[in-house]
Amino acid sequence: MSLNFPITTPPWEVLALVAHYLDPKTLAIASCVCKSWFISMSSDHLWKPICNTHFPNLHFTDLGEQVRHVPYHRLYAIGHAAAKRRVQTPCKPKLSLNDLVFSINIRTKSSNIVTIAKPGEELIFDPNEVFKFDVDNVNYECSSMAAALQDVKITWNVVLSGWKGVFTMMNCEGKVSFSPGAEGWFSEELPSPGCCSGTVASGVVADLTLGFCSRRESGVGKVKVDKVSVGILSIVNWRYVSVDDGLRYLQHFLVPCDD
Amino acid sequence: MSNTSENPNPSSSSAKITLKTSDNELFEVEEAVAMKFCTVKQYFEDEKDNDVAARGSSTVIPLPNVHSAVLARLISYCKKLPQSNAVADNHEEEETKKKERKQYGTPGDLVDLISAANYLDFKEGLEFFNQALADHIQNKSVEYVRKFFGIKGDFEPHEEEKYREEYAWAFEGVDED
Repeated sequence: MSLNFPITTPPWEVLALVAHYLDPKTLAIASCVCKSWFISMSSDHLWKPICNTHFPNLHFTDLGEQVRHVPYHRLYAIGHAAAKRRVQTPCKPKLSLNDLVFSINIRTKSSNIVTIAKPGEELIFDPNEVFKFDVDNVNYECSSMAAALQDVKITWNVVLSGWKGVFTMMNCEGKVSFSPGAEGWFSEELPSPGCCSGTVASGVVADLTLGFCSRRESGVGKVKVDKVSVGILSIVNWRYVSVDDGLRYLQHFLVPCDD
Repeated sequence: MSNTSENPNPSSSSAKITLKTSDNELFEVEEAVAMKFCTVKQYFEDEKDNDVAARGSSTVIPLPNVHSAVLARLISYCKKLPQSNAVADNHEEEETKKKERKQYGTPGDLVDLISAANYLDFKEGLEFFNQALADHIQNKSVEYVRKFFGIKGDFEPHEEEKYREEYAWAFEGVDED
């Protein structure tokens, strides 16, 4: 500021007027300027309407004694913290995809059909950066079994590199047709992470798709598993969760909490 | 800027009222302008009740709390006032207003204008100057506000720490000085 004359501190009546035009944050900062500003800027007279507007339900007059001694500026701070807690942005996941190996096994009652193990870095990312990955070069051949549906058992494990931890994303039974062009879709609800009680649903499911195509070179009667993709799907909006959300979910089960 | 054709009520534009400031300067202003100052309006109406003939420039209304420099600015602000009281209804308009407020004056000026507008009970002006001053310190640090108004922090160190602790939530993401 290049003011040539010394500016005098605004008189209290001007402060009292301007205070009504300050937003809560500026009002809070202004309270820490000096003693007289603290008195002007922290008064209940100013903060009461602000509290009533922003957090009307924090103002319980019927509780009388218990809350009477909480100044309104503090009540606002409490409300602010509560609101912030709801929209808290989670920290970056400690896990990275490179720490993980995806292992997928598909078998019928009588025989093993395919076992795939893919390191995280070799997975094909979805362009939308969601936790859904295609596994390519599966290249597994098996006998075509006409149009008949076969009972299969599908297991999808995520292994933390160095076998430091394994989490079973899916272990389910289903039916699939081993015929060219057929697709199989499997999903299983994932457990709720962390210490929450079992009644709190996780809201996510593991999802796995299989695709078959015919294999000309091998002659009639053979099909190839040519497409496998896996992901974590939110049942709230039926969209795949973000890569970070997926990693944070896995982190709960694979990395011990250190705090 | 004093374009009489903008006056919504031309018949009254001829009537003048004389205002006398704290430094004994006389201002002859249009009645429509003077009536924006509710304190003047009240005085004027009281006078009118006493003596109808006193209406007009023969009446001098003393304003012992207002300096001539401040009154001159208040009057010029008054003349620039838009006729409609419509609130800025879009973002662009609000931005223009903000810019206008920012360039309006130094903090010292604004403090004087607020005091005077408050004394004169000049609502539109009071709102504008208050908002202009508030804009200057919006989301600024404690240090900035102190420098801006030339205030020395007079807290004991432990006291200041306590208050800052209490308001810790507000200290996130304040503007760079």
